Amino acid sequence: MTARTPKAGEGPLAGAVRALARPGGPTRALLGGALLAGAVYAAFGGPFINLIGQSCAVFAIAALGQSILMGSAGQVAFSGGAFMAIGAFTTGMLSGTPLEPFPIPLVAGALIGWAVGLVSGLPGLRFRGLYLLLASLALQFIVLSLAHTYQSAHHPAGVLVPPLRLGPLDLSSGRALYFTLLAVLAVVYAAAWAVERTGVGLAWRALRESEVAAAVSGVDVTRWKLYAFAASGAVTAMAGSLFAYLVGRADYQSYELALSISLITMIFIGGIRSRLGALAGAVVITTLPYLLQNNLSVWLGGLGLDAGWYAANQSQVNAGLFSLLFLLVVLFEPHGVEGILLKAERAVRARSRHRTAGGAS
Amino acid sequence: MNDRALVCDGVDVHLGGVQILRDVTFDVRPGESFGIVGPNGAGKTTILNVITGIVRPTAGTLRYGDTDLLGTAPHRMRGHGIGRSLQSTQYFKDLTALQLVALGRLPNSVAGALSFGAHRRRRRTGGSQPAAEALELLGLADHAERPLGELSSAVQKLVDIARAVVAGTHLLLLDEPTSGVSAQERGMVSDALDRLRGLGRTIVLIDHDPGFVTGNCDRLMAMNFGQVLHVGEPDEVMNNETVKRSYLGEKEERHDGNA
Repeated sequence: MTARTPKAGEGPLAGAVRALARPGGPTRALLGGALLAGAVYAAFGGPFINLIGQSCAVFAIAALGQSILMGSAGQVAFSGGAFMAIGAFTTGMLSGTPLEPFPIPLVAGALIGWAVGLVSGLPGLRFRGLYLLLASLALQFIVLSLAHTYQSAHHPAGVLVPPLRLGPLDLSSGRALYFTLLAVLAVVYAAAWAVERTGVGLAWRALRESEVAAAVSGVDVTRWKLYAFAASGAVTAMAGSLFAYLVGRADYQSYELALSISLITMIFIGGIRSRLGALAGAVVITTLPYLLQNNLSVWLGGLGLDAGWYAANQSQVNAGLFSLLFLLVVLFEPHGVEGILLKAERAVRARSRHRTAGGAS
Repeated sequence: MNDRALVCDGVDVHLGGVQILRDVTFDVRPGESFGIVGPNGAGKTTILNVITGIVRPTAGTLRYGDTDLLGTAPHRMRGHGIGRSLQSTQYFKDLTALQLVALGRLPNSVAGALSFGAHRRRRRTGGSQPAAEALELLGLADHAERPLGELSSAVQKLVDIARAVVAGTHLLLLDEPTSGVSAQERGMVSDALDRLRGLGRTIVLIDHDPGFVTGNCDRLMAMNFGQVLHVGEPDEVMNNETVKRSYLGEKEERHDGNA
């Protein structure tokens, strides 16, 4: 083995410069920078902004969970809402038991999410594409109907979840809650990043490209597909558990099919192939309703239009808007926000190359 | 070292009620280059699919050395010393050459995969070192860090062959290594095959270019409509009347008819 000879100028700074110079580097830097700026703004921008930031952090975790399955491993599923429900109801059902203290419910939710994820991957061993999608839809309805039945039998108004506490620390609201959620997000993000750098990520990429090509290369398609479902289930369930802490209860109505579709919209809008894209999509889809709620009436009023119909049908109109947004993204920019940034980056590169070439001649 | 023969005996394949292969019998001797020729739809790729466990035959036996290959899952083939290159290069465009080759050694255990580095920076762990060696063997060391999509189709094909070789396989199934490769670059593929043969690898080769197959193989098997027409020395097979009629001679025959 040859030892690495340290080159002149090799340090964290030079490494950062090199990472920035790589194709896609500026895009990642811009996206990551914007997300960080948003995260800081949410921390210090007042209680309402802070509240939105908390939701963003939770849905960013959920979007990461879905992007493991659909972005990294190339599978499809409509069951994101079901896995969030699993996390939320696990958390709710553990409250009042000796297992109530945080983070036990979070971990328990992740474990159950992992196990159900494994099982939910089983149809994927025989089916692909549309059939797999139908199987995931079935899971969504099974989980939701179980949650519904349990909830109406025992807690009609939703299963109460105690305020988030870590030992003596009260993390149940405000900045403390926000930073707790961000910390979980950071851990999940780092874990996903680290795992996907290894052979596991390579196996997932291979089966995303082509299952036959992957199998011929020696990749055990069955096994890695199941692990993708399991890992995705665990992370998405963690988001569900945190969401239950955020709203103080587990209510099956929060986890209907519409949520699964929102989660898919998030990862497509941000950029299906990238983790940062999943975060960006989660932030866009989570903040958009608040933005519309606050501003749309004003904008419409400015145009001389009556905004009353919007205020009255807000959630339906928003759902329609998001579906439209999703369609537009899939039709015109399949790689989402990240794809747009990458295109811009390429254009800038081509232009500066052109300019230097012109200057040299 | 490599003294295992591939023996295929009486293999039938039916897919959706259609018979794709009928009583296919042949053997590939250790260390030889064995070409399979025939028109489109003759069943050439299906034979590779049978050998690699993607397609299950309805009758017949298939052995490699002492190993019964029937019922073995595709991803276990490399464990039996069998590697296969892909006909298409449309996949894995954004993997680097090194990463694609490393894929050929990726462990299927969680612990193994987690400690498997496919980046140059982590050469000493996992798959990068053998992958770099396999690329070097085929003269591709310069391309290691380039994304596959940026490479010429000949180089992509060779990288994929390196991927099939990297697990230490001694029987290589090459599915059309010159399809989409320019005439100038075919020499590169021939050279790579020569090197592999020099190392004692057994090669089963499918290709559409008759000149390439006759030039690179010790023996040929000609097929049509899922049946074996003839097995023998390249010249003998190519000059066989049945083979000429089915595969090469259609135009000449029409000429004869006109004359």
